[in-house]
Amino acid sequence: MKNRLRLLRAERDWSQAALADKLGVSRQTVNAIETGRYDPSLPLAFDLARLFSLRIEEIFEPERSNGSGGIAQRPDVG
Amino acid sequence: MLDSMESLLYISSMHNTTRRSSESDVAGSNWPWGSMFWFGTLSGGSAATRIYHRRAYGALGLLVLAVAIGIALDTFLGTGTSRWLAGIGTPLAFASISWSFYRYVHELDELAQRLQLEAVLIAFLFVVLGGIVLFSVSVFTGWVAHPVWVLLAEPVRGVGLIVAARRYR
Repeated sequence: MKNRLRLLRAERDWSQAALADKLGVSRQTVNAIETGRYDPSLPLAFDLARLFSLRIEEIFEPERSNGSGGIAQRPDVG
Repeated sequence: MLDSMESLLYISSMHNTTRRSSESDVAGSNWPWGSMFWFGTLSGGSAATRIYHRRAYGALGLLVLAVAIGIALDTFLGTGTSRWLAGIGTPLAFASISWSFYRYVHELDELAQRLQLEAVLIAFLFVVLGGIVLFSVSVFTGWVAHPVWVLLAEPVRGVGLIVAARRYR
C-alpha cells in the first residue's frame, strides 16, 4: 500500500513523534506506515483520514504491480 | 484525461517529499534493541511498560523476599519453610507476571502488538520444539531436564522481538 503520509505530515510541519502523539501510536508505527512497511488497521486509517480531513483513499492507494487489478491474493484463513 | 493527470500527480506526490519536517524523519524506526533484548519490551518509557515492569519486578522481589525469609526461618528454627515458600511462591509470582504481560500487550499500539505476537509465537515454538527434543533425549538416555528450562522462552521472546522488528526498520 502506497501512501502520502510523509507529504501530508511535512505540509503541516509535524514530526513523526507529534503525529504519533495525535494518533495515540508509537513513532515507530508512523515510520513503518510512511515507509510502506506496515499497513495500518482500518480504525487507524480512519483516524489518519479524520486528522488530515481527507478520505482514506486520498491518503492510501493500493499497489498495482501484480497485474491483478490491485486485488491482492487472499491469504489462507484456515 | 483529467482523471489520469490527477492520478499521475497523486502518485508522483507520494515520492516527492522534499519538505522534511522533523529530526526524526532521518532517524528511521530507531527501535530500542537493548530494551527489546533484555526486557522484551519495545520501550523503556511508556506508561504501559513502566506498569508492566513495576508489576513483574514487584512479583519477583516478593518471591525473593519470601524465600529469603523462609531460608532464615529454616536456619534458626529448622522448619523447612523455604521449600514451601519457593514451591508455592514461584508459580504464583510467574502467574502474576504472565497476567501483567497479558495486560501490557493489550495496552500496546497495533504494530507493537503485532511484534509481540510474533515474538511470543517464536518463543512458543521454541518451547514446543525444545520439549519434544528433551523428551526424545530422555527416551534414549534416561536424562530428564529440569522443567525450569522453559524460562529460556523469555530471552527467546526478546530475540524474537528483534527478529520481528527488523522488518519494520
